[in-house]
Amino acid sequence: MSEGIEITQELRQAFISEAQEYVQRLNDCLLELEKNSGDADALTEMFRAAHSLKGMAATMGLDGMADFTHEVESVMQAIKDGKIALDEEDTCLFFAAVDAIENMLDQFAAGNDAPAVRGLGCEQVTAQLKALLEAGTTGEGTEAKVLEHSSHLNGMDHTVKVETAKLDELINLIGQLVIARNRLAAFCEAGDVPEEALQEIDQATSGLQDLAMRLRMMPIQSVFRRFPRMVRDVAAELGKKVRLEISGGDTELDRAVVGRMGEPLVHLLRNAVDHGIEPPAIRKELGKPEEGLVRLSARNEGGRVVVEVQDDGAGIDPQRLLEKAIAKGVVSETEARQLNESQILELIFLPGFSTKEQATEVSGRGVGMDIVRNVIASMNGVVEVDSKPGLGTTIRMHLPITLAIVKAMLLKAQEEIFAVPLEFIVENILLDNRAVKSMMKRPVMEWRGEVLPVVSLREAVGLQGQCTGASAVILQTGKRKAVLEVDEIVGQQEIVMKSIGHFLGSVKGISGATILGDGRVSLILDIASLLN
Amino acid sequence: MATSVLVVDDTAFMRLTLKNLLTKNGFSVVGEAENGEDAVQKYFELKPDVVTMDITMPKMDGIVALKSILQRDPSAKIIVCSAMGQKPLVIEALASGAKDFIVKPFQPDRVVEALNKVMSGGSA
Ligand SMILES: [Mg+2]
Repeated sequence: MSEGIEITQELRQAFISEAQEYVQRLNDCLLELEKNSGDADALTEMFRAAHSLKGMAATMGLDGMADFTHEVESVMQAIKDGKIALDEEDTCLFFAAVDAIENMLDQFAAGNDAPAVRGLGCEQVTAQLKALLEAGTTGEGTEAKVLEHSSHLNGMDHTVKVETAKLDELINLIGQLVIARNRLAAFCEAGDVPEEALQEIDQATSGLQDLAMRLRMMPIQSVFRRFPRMVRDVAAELGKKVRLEISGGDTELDRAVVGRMGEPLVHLLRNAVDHGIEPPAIRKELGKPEEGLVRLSARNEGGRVVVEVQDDGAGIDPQRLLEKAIAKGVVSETEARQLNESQILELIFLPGFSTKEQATEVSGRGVGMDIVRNVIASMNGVVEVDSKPGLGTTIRMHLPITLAIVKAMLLKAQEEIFAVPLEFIVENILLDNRAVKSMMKRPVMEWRGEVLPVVSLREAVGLQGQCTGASAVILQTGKRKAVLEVDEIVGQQEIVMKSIGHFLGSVKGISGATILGDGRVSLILDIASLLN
Repeated sequence: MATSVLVVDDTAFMRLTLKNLLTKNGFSVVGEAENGEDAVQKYFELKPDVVTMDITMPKMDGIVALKSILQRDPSAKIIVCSAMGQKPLVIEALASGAKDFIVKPFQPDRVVEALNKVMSGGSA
């Protein structure tokens, strides 16, 4: 840019500080949009901030930054003009995009005169912005030129941009293939098809399915990265000192799961700062460091992903929580007496505790905890709470890595077959009825030194009579275990999860449906609610 | 006497850039405005020879400001500043009476040329 303006030190400084202001403004707008995706003011302001940043960067001769912000601006323009709708995943994407801008700004401030988009997931950000734009525009006018102009940003030869719709179609087709394979297996068992034919299809299907799943995986970082700012903002608003530690951002999950984690995490982190971490003066009095610690982490654990929000704040007082629950009529006094400490803590997930005025009084969490549980349960995940009064609270979410195809155990109750995702099953056992004892009028059984409740599948799904036979499975979600008594253990099968939400509404105890190899519909048990 | 200029842009950085550039080339920046409303008010207060008018700004954008100035003072000399991808807006601005346009990132020669041309009575 030899013909450009002369960059003085003064100009450089002015650029950095004003650009930082715009980055902050972009963040603020995104937080607004996250609450209300139709907020026209926030949209307009975001567009303007991106536009200004672009102009400034171009003036400074920072082409990489100018091109990238132009991309963001173009998408904002399309959203503003109603050409594309902003959904939750897009908000994640924009947070990532703003982070990329901030990163470039940092590079420049640190003396790099040609900052470029780089770092975890940045190529995807650019690619996804473009994909969004292409999906929303017909290619006429200015936007089309934009894409040409900055195409070099995407110069990663080993990556290919794929529309997510195509990917979903691929997953669907594989789903059908899995079902067909299962049907073939049924014929094979009957001796109508040679075994080798099945084996070949089996291998191909598994390979294909595995690959398709990996295509859908993305690091949870794309959701995590927006939280440092949010926690900082909430803390500042409340006059608290909070440090957020993030780990495991590179843990990969199905993009559908990642896309839905935003809302629950917003609730959990806000609660941790708002209701968990004490004001600095109080912490000082208690002998705690003035600065509270909130940890957000993700890790792989036994075929699932565990996402945790942990704080070193006030914790939840189970006694006070219980009193409130009784006062609110959430539990009766008789029921209350039978609850152990961890069961008491779980009361916070009930809708009765989710109102704002309750939350502050209850000295714990409350705001949106029922929402958190619903979102997690809808993905076949489980959320649990751990808390020590005075020491802090941990909310732990166990999530499936993928939503589409899972290995499941098929269980029979009367003539109905139900499916349970395999990750919930510890083992199959032979049930000796003499081992079942009664404790507080509930059937329990000792299993490897633990006393577990015994649940009848027939009863759980509203079928008549006692289970016959001697089969049961040990179920586990998080810390909770139970014995599930069934009529018959049919066996394992890969199942394609179909949501039944659309036509059946939310059915208690059922999280979805699938089509079995023989063409029958099988309902998928919601283990979390079954164990409650 | 040096040509007096009112610099309108919502970003302080762009105003500073233009001000430096113009001052260095013998123009006198008599005022700055950071949005359209501000621009209209300052224009009639300062009566500058030329206005450089940014398009995308909060409160009132550059096009509305341009129209509102020209309505009350048809002889106003306004140059619009646009960024890449704003062609349709530039065309609207020119149709509404802007004398010329300059594109960000600014090229000093082009900016000086535009101002000189406007002052000597030429138009785009
Ligand atoms: Mg502007």
